[in-house]
Amino acid sequence: MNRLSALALQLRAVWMLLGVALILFIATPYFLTSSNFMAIALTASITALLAIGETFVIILGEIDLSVGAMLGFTAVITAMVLPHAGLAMGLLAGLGAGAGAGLINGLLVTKVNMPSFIATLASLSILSGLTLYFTKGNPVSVSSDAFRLIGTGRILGVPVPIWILLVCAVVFGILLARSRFGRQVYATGDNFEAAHLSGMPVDRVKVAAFVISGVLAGIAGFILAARLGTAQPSAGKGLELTAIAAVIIGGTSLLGGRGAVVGTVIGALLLGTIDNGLNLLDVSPFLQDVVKGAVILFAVFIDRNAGPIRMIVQSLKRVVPGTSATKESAPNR
Amino acid sequence: MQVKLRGIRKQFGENEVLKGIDLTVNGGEVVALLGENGAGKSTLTRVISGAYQANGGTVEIDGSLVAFHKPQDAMKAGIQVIYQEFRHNLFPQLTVAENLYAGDRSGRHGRLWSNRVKMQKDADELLKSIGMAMSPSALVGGLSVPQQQMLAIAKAIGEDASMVIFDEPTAALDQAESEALFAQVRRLRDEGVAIIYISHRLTEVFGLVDRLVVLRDGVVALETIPDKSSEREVVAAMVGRAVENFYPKEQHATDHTVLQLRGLSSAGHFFDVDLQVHSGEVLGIGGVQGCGKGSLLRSLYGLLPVTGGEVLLEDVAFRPTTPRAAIASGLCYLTPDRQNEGLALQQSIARNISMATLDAITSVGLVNAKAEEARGEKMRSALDIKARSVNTAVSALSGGNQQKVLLGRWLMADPKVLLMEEPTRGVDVGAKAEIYRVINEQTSRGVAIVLVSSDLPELVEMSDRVIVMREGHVVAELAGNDISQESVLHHALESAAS
Amino acid sequence: MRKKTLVTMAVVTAMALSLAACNRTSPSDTATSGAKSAKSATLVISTLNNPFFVSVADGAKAKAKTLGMKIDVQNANNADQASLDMASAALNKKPSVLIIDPVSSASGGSIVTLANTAGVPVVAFDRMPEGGDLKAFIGYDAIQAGKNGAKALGEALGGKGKIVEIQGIMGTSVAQERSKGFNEGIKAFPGIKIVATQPAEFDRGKALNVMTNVLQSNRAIDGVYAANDEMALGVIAALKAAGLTGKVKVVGNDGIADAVKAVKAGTLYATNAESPFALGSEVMALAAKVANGEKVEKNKVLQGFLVKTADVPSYCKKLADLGDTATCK
Repeated sequence: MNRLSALALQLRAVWMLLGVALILFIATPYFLTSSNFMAIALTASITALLAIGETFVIILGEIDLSVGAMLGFTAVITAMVLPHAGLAMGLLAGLGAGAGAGLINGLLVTKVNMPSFIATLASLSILSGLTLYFTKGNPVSVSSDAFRLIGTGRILGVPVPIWILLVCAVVFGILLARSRFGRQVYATGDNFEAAHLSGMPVDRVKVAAFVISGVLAGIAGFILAARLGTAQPSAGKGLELTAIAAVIIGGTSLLGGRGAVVGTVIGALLLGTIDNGLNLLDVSPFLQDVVKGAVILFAVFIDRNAGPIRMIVQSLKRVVPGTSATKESAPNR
Repeated sequence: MQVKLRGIRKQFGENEVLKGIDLTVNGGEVVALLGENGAGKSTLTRVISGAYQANGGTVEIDGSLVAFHKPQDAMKAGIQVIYQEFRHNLFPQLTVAENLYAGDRSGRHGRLWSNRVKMQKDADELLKSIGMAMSPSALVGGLSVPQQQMLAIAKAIGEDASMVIFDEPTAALDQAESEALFAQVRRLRDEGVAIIYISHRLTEVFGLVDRLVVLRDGVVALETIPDKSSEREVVAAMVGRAVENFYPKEQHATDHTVLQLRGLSSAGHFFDVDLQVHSGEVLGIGGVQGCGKGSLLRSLYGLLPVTGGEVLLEDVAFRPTTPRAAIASGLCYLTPDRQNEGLALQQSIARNISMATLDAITSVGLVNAKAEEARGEKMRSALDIKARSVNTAVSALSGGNQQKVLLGRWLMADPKVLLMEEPTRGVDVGAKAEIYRVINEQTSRGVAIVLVSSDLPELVEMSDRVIVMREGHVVAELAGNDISQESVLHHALESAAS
Repeated sequence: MRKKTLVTMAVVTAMALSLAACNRTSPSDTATSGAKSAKSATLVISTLNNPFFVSVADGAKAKAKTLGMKIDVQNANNADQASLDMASAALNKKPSVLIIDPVSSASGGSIVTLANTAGVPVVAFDRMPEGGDLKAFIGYDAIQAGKNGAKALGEALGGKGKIVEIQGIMGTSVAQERSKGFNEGIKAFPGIKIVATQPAEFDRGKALNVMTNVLQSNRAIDGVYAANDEMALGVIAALKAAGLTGKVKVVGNDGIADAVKAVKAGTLYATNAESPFALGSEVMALAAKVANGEKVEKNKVLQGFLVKTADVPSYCKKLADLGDTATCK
């Protein structure tokens, strides 16, 4: 029973998403189409990938502010290596750059003992500076068709970036939820000393989380470059905040010890849905920020009242014949 | 002041914790409130202090009905509580003086600007009047745990309390500090303050209080005075049945030396320690706070550097650099601070139990979650951990059950040597008995146990041999009939004796 | 604990210093003419993350070199506060003239006021600052730019069809005026209907996502006007992903290198080229005059011109003549 309510806590973002989806469903017929859902997943894919990496870091009680800068940095590296060494090498170079940047973040936090806020703020600055320096502010185009397919191609009718997101969500989701490393992440984030005294390699765990964040930034980097056809040095600017927002909305606690990849992905999809709705409904640019704020308040309201709302929905189900009534579990409290 | 509770009821959801409590406490008397965890002591305290509102019953102060809607109301009426987790009362980043007058409702030190000079002066006077040697400008975060507790008490005194409730005040104190606390309690009583004293340490309670009230299952099970009662009767009232032996020590010690320390030193902590522990034996280590007994254990676990001497584990040189290495060699450490160092509070019971032994249930990097749960179930029934399921977060458990989870983690690791520091701190009688049973069971299987405890009766009754440390040195080794509370104290406090 | 604080402080200090240093161009960049008082100018530019502004800075630096003036370029990274801080710091060194392109009209106004108090003359370009005493403003006629875009798109669609307008940062006068000009200009084509108007912050990635979403509720469109080339290129990427390349005409603004390539390739119908290099050059020339105390026209308006596929070669030659070799590589 308690595992269910723990899961319910992680998935409370689902209620928020359903609430917003309901509004959009009523407001426009274009929302509820498979093409639109794919558009949402596609536009949210970059943020979602960054957010998956950020989930590991935040569960550990740390934070990674450099993911946006890492995205731009790795995209540029991929774009620069690709014409000389081919697609595979280009991708590897991007991933390697992300992993390397993540490694440095991790070492700054564990060996130099810097608070992660400051360490990643510093690397944000250094990475975006380096990127600007290499490119002189100019975007680096990629002409490889194979590379562009990553951004614009489809497999079984679904855009490739969505497949990549799916694979990453599953792989990293399982890593966090089921692997020994995942257990170590939760334990270390929940109580660093306790994990240490239990023999867990706490420093290595932290470094690994930052490396994961870097690798995912690398993946996000080449997907964005593939979609656009160029690697822009400023590509990821500001995305770290959206990624962190997605993680928190998804149910992960900033204090550490709690969270899940699936919640994060739902959080990213929620943010993507809000943007999608604003565009679909052609909301005036001057109103967009107001609407966004209102929607987030509404979403939080749904979240806070998820229990009573679920009960109302259940009792409605019992009244309407032919629908199965599910057993009501203890309310989330 | 007289506080009179009549028919107090309190429930949380469907769970009725207090089922009609009648209790009267007068100024100038110390009433002990006893009971197992879950009996309702904390809840009752919180009702009196205004943190909870009762669902039924009345509270009268000096004959008039009162209703506290929030803690501030109770504080205004002169009721102060010093919680077991007294860190809740203190601000580590502020100084002693600032903490003492943090509430300052009377605006004594100024409404807009706080008058620092006056605050320091008042703080100085207050501390001196209680006999506490503490600098008013010291940062609270830098004080030791017992000092912080003394400060929390001074704060209550400084607020001109008419009633003070002490919740497990000696849990973190050693003998000398406990005596200092008792002196404060008696002083308060003599000044007419009404005192409720909650503790699991029956011996000290009997020596200190005027009246005993035992709660069991939400009602008052026994009300008596120390002269007319006995520890046995009190314990029976607490658990609802007669408890024969508090300290069921079994003898399983062998001659086989498992752990040997030769001239072990850690600069600044302890010096030149020689000792051996045999399999099946419980070696107790006694001494006052700061004597080095805790540091000794921590150095064996890789947490403090060893600067001299050697350690032999099963006759093999043992150089612990990290907890991981120690655990791999078969040596485990039960930390005294389960909240901050022991348990991952948001994680489930099952996860906490397997935290140190994940390798055994991991294959291809993935943890066998079913096995993790099964292990949790096994430990739950073996240690009688009261929880709805092993997937419940540990934070929901009572202190005693939390301690059992922590112990379960180390039992899972099947150690050769188990270092236990304060294993029954903040633990109720029922859980204590369970932990002693585990000690017996482990020793019967040949495990060597090193027991560090500031609970003297526990140390004396549960150890086969006792060494006493003072100021970092081993000053005595007691065995057989030589082991007694007096002899341990004598060696621990020798400077006091001379 | 103390070591940790020391190290943190050291790194933060180093970071702050390197941040400050990186934003400076090295003084050896520009030639000094050996004249007794080599005039100096500080350019606080809104961003160097946009190739448009990179080109502006390059144009200004090239002009400064030929004029024998020193120029120091500061990058405000699209942050109002940063631009204010950099301007204050620059003013302390009393340059002969301060050049700014405001991150927002409001912060720009504050900077001009600061400069007025410091007694340093100010020249602004591209975005008009709100308030303060400006010696000269030079900018492209944003309203005309919008009208040019409307004309191009209208003609491209033969006066008929459904179009989408993608706007810039609507908090800036540039975005507002281009939109205003575009909407006025499009009225000349009554057969054209604007089906959606959405902002994409002058950013390529954002425009990609916005266009992807807009296509969901507006499948059958014929044209898109983007208020700058970065967004136009994002729109083109979205169209490509939707398989609509060639079926939808896109018009942009600015005339940056990637846009020129796209126009050549036919994916971008036209761009209203406002050569940033030329702009930088003009700005510097104006600033030099101001630094020398000469009188200048208070409001110089530059005009962009439409570059369609056939116009590319002449545009590129024009740029080369100015000294801009980067755009038409």
